[in-house]
Amino acid sequence: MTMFADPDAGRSLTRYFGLTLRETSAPGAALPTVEGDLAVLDHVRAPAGNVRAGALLTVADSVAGLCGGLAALPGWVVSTNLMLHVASFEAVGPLRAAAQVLRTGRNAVVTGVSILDDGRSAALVADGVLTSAVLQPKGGAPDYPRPLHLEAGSVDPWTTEPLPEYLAVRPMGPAAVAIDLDDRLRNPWGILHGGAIAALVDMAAEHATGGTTADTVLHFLSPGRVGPVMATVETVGTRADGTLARVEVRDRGAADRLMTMAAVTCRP
Amino acid sequence: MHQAPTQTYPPAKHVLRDLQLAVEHHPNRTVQAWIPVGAELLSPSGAPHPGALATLVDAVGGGLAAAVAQPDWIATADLTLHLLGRTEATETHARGHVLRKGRTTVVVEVSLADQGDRALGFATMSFALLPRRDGNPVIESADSVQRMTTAVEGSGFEHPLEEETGLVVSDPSAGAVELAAVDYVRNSLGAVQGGMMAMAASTAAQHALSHACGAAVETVDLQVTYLALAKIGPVRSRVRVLDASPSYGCAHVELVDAGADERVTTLARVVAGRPA
Repeated sequence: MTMFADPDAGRSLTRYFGLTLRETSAPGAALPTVEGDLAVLDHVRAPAGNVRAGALLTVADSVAGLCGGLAALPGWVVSTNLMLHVASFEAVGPLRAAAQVLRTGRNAVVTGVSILDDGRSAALVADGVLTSAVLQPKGGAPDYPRPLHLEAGSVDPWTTEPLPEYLAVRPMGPAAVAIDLDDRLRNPWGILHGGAIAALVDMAAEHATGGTTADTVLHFLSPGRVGPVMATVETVGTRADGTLARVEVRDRGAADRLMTMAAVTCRP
Repeated sequence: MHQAPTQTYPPAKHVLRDLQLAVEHHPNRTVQAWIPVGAELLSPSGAPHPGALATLVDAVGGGLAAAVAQPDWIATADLTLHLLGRTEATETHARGHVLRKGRTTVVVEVSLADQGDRALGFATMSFALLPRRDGNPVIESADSVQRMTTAVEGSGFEHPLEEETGLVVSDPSAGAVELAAVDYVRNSLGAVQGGMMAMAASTAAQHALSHACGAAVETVDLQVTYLALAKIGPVRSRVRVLDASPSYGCAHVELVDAGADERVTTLARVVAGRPA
């Protein structure tokens, strides 16, 4: 039986964001396209009112990852590298993320993703690229009905906790934050969701620099399986567009294994 | 580790030779490299040219990845460069180490510093592992530090980097640049070298963003994704400004191989800011 047999397994994070995913390419298209939609509710906004970069990174990872996965069939994908530039901090919402495959190979898929603000005439919110490794899952790839449609369901704005509380992020001194590896943060592979890692990196960088995350490069190096997971920030320097930081994410419960290395620029 | 010299690459007149790259491969899977930073390699602000640094990073990262990939070979998948725009460098020192070596990929990080060991920035690169083919350079393991230089007699830039490489800016406000795929900028596969593609993207974005920002800005962040080799040329840029303020801006750049039906070979997001 495929490890993806339970369609709800590993989807808690996308449900938390209220991210509905749908395949938009025509049946039989050579390369799939996927869109994701979400209302922008207060739980994904930072205190300053902007949509958290961690939320945008999660959306990008989820939409582009699914698009890359469909292109990789009968294999499936894990994210290896996510690069995202936040072009605007003034998102009204709803947001629409559109992903398209840029390149497919035997071992990797490269997917472009743009996040647009449908509340502001489709203004660009973020632009990025996800690279995914193609793997052969035990029992085969997900057997989704096509065209794919994964409904997130509605998010209750009154009861949904803000992202830092949902992730249970805790500061670990002036330049580090940590989370436990709760089951609801795992992806369909059973490892820590790339979006959760991205959100942790975003919050660590903002915690250490006092700024707002704008540009992020994430290299997913090894899976997070045990936890707690800690992100540590080294401030490299400042420049016209903000503070440049280098972030390492390690699985403290797995011999402090390096999971992710990131470069982040935070606006003042 | 030791990269065996090849008869054909790089040729005597090549950008890697003019960079006068001195490299040390260490047995612990690290590399150190140095280039002199003369006036020809400076941006208008006096900071090291992003194209020179990208080429340095590409050479360091590629050499390291090729060494750890043995017996397989590698193809560059992406390169990111994060700079502080620091001036007064007369030399750049690069230190590379492997972040991950997996079944299908190698990820490398390279830190950059000036002659006083002040940070200039850092870079990352990802490589796809490929089955070895005839013609791939042979790399032998060694248990001692191996040193080499790309410089030969007469190496060194006589003109600014962009002029030396033949990079032409045809429409500055649109960020339109053109780079011929000549031997001087080709890699061992016969395509335009990854660092040179990064330079083209950087220069294209800088011009478009300087126009959009209303002031001269210089590249501080490069996120480059390599999709295909640019073998025929010329390489041409298409730039879309994503956002611009008086202090900084970001552009999306496509580099196409005009001689290969305008095939998109490289994508980049470039952030440029006003020099300090």
